[in-house]
Amino acid sequence: MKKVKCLLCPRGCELKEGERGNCRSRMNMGGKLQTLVHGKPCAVHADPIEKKPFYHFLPGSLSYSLATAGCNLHCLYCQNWEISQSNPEDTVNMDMSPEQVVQGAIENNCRSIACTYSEPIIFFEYAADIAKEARKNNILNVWVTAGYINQKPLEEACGFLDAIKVDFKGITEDFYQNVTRGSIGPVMNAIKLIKEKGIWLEIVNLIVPTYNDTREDFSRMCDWITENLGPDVPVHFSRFWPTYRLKNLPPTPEESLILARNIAMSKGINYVYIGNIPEHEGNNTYCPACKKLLIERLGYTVTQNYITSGNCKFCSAKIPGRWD
Amino acid sequence: MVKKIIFNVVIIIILVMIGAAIIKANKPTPGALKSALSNIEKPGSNLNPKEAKYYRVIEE
Repeated sequence: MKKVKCLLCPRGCELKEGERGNCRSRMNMGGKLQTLVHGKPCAVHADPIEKKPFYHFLPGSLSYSLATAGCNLHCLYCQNWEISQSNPEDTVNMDMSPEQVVQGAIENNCRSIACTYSEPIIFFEYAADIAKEARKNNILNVWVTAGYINQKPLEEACGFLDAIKVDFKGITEDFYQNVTRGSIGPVMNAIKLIKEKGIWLEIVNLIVPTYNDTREDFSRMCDWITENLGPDVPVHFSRFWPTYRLKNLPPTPEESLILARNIAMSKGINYVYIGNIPEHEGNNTYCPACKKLLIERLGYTVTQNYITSGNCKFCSAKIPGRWD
Repeated sequence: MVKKIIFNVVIIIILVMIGAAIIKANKPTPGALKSALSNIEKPGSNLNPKEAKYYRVIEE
């Protein structure tokens, strides 16, 4: 019997006949690696793009969002663990071809399709086929990912994606190993490659009390971001909510989020946001040149937008992102 | 005694009616998401495997 080695993500699972990868969605069948989730999403919704979150990419638009079961990470605080930590045969799935997904996006007035909720990497082939179909219909493609992927497939993905939001979960190898069961190096490489390829990139860091919430954690992460990505990649610090295997922890205190934001701004990052605390000024976009309010958000709703053709309406400074 | 039984029966009927109304109200609205989601499959249904990209065969 032939073994196969999956080359999609850094785990490099070696699978005997009938075995599945760590992601639960790829299996050795007859000496060939098969994806079990092509055309089988278990979650489909038309979401505001702000929910992903993307704050500099088609603000105020809807994104047709979908996921299949499985994930190649196993975060102790996963918000969607019911699907990400399940086998695809154990979730309630739909039967949706890439053409049907695109049709759904059109019918729901979505300007983009987001592969999100679980981990698009593990349904790579389905996501790629959807993206190709979407391009034919002038619909943009975005991924919400943890970035735990090998270089070659990521290069291919950059060819069909318009924006990627990466969950940069922590700044230490210990955090990645203990909390996500992954490793930080491949994630850093992926983030740098996405930036190099010119794909619109936003970073999210979920702040988990007692795990990645020290001043040093914030400082090191912001230093890495400025050194490797520059000052214009939006960074979102998100509030943790007790769930899955970390129900014993409290929600992230507001002070931790504000501290992280202040440190990021002091390091020169121009667009720093706070997630999951509605009505905080950290939800808004401000012009780094004239400091005026450019986009006001209430929850996932854009209430004011003063960006015109990608520029600040007040001082004409160019604001990075995709605005049309 | 009879009055008490009738009273209890009426209360039970009212509670059942309220329960039914709550269940009905919480059912998803048909067509809330315009795309056809009538193609929902039960867990354990056929997954139609498709050959994946990015792997190599290791001979044993």
